Amino acid sequence: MPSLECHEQDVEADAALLAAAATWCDRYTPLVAIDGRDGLLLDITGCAHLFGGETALLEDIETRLRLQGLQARSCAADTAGAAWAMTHYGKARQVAPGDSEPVLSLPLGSLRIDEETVSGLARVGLRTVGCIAYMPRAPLAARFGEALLERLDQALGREEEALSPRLPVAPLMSEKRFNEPIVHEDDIRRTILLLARNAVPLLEQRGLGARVLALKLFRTDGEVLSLTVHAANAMRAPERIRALFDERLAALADEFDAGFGFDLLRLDIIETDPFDAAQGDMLSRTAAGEGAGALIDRLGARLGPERVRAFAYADTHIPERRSGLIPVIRHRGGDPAPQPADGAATRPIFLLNRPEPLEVIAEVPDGPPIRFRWRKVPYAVLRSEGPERIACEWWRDGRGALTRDYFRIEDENGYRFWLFRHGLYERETARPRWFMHGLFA
Amino acid sequence: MNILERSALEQLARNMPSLPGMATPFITPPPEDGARLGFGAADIDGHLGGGLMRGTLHEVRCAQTRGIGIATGLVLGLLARLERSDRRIVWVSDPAAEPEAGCLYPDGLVQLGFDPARLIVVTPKDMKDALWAGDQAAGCEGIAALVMHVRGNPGKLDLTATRRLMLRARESRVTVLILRQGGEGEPGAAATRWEVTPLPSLTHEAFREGIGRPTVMARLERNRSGRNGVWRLAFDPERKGFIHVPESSTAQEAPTADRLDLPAASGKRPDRPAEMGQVMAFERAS
Repeated sequence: MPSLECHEQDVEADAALLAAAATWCDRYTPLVAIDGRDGLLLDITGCAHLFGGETALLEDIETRLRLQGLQARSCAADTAGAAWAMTHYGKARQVAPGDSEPVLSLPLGSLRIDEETVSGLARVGLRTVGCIAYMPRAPLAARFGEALLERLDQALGREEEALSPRLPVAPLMSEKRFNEPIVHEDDIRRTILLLARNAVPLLEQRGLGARVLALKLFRTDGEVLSLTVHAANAMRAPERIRALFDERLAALADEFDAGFGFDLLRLDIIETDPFDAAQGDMLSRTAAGEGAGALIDRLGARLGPERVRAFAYADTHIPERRSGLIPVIRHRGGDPAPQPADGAATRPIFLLNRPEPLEVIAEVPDGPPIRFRWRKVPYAVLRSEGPERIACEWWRDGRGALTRDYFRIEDENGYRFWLFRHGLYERETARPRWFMHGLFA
Repeated sequence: MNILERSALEQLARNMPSLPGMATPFITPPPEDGARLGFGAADIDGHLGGGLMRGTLHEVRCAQTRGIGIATGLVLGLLARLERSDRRIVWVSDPAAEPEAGCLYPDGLVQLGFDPARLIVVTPKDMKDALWAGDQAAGCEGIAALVMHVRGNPGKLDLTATRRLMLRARESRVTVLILRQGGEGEPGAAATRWEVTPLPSLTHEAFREGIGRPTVMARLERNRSGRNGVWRLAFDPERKGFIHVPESSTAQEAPTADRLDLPAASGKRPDRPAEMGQVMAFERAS
C-alpha cells in the first residue's frame, strides 16, 4: 500500500506520554494508576460531585485529552474490573451503581485474563461473563485456575481491588480553579497565599503543622509543574508558606514556563507533624528560634534541602565514616558528640575528602615519618605523636583490608597534620603506603 | 555606672522570671551579652578595647591552604566563647574550598571545646548562591554568627558584597567572619582583618617530644578602630579562652610573614639537590 505511513514503535516515548497524561489526571483525583500500555485507572470516589457528576467528569476528561491530541474512551463503574471491561469491550459511558447487567453480556476477554484461558473456556462453550458468573466455582478453579475467579470477583464487586496510585497521595490539599488561566507570577503568589490560608483550618482541626508541601500547577496544555518545599519544624503560618514558595520560584526563575497559563493550582500538604500549641503563641516564642528555623527553611527552599546540613554520627572507628552531614530538615537531633577523653587534640578539624597519597621517609617498621611530600610540597617533621592504630572493619571492607596507624605530625613551621600508614609493615604488606587525612588547629 | 555594675544589672535582667500573666519579661533584657567578643587574654583584649566588635564583619585569613586548620581553630575558639550557646552558627562554604581542605570534622571540633551541633553547614553550588546564603544568614537575628569560608579572594566577594554583609550584620547583631583559605589581604569593609600563621606548639612538660598545646601567631593587619599588632596565642579548652604565649616557650622562632626572609625554602625546592652533609640513621631492616 503505497500511501501507508509507517513509524517504528517507540515504547519509551509512548510510556512517557502515558505517564504525562497520568500526571495530568491528578487534577481530577490523586488516585491515578497506569493500566497496561495504553490505559489509566482513576478512582473517582467522592470526587465526581466537584465536576457535576460522573458523566460530566468523563466528558471533561475526554474533551481535554482530545484537545491535547489524545483519543480516549472512558467508563465509570463500581469496580475497576467492570470499568475496564466496559471501556475495552463495551459501549456505555457509565455503569449504574449496583448494576452488573452490562458486564455480564461482555465477552470473557474483558475480564483481563490471558488468551489461553479465554480459548480454553471458549472450547467448553463459555463465551460471556454471564456464563460463568453464577457457575459452581470449584470446578472452574480446578480447570482454569484461581486467577480466573479472582478477576471475575473483582469485576462483579465481590472482591476488593486495590489501586496503587503513581504519586504519593497527600493527606490534605487545597485547590483553586481558574476560568481564565493565570500566567503572571504575582497572581501565582497571591493564589499560593490564598491556598495556604484555606489549608490552615484543615491543619488546625487536626492539631497539625505542615513540614513538606507541594504546589502543583496544571497548565492548560496538559503539562503539570510541581514545586516542593520543606520546613525544619511544623508550621502553619500562611505567610511563611508563601515565603518558602517564593524562594523556590526564585530559584527556578528561568525554567518556569507558564505556557498559556495555569487553570488549576493545588497545594498538597504531604507531611505533617503535631503542631505544638505553645509554639504558635507568638509572644512566648523567642524571636531567635523562629528566626533560625525560618532561615533554614528559606535556605533549603532556594538552594535545595540537601545543601543545608548538620552533623550526624555513626557508630564506627573509621574516621571518614564516623560522622557525616545530613539535611537539617531530616535531622532529628539528640546525637551527643563524643566528649574528649583528656582534652588532648587527637582529632583534626578538617578531614580531607579522600586520604591523599604521600611520599614519606620513615623509620621501619613502626616509626613516624621524618620527612614527607604532600601535594608536591616537601615538609620536615619536627614532632610527632602516635601511632594510633585504627583497625579495618573487616565486615565492611573485607578481610584483606589494611590497618591504619595514625600519626599527629607537627612540621618545623608549626603546621599540624594527621596522616596514617596504610598497612602494617611486613605483617600485612611489604610496602605500606602513607596518606594525609586531616589538618589540625 | 561602671562595667561591673552594668553587667550585674544585665545578669539580674536575664535571671528575672517573667511575671505570671505577662507575656514579656518585666525588664527587657539587654540586646546581647556584651558588645565585644574577647579572646580571653588580657593583652590582646586590651588592645582591641574588650575584644572583637560584635554585630559587624571581620576577616581572618591564612596565607596558605595548609593553614586552614590553624585559622579555623582560631575562629572556632573565638566563636565558642559566645555566651548564648543555644543560638546556632551558620557556616557557608565556597564550593571551591572543599576539594583542598575537605570537610569540617566534628570530633576535632569537640576537642577544641566547640559544640558541632551548633553548626548549620551550607554548601551551595557556586559563589553566587554562597553570597546569597551569606546575606540571608547575616540578616537573621536568630543566629549567633556567620562564617563565610572562601577560597582565596573570589571576585564576587568584593567591596560591595562585604559592605552589604557588614550592614546586615549591624542591623541583626550577627557577628560575621570571612575565613579566607589561602587568601591575600584585600581592602574590604571588615572592621578588623587578621592573618594567622602557626607556631610550633608549646612543649609539654611530661612529653617533650610530643605536640603540646597548639600555638598560633595572630597578626592584626587592619584595624578600623586602632592600631595593628601581633600576638602569640594558644587556646585553652578548659578555660575556653586564649592565653598569651611568651616567646621562650616555643622551641623555635616562627618564620615572619615576609616571604623573602625565609632562608630554607629555596633549598627544599624539588629541582634543587638536598643540602649536603645531612646524615640519616636508618635502623637495620632485618
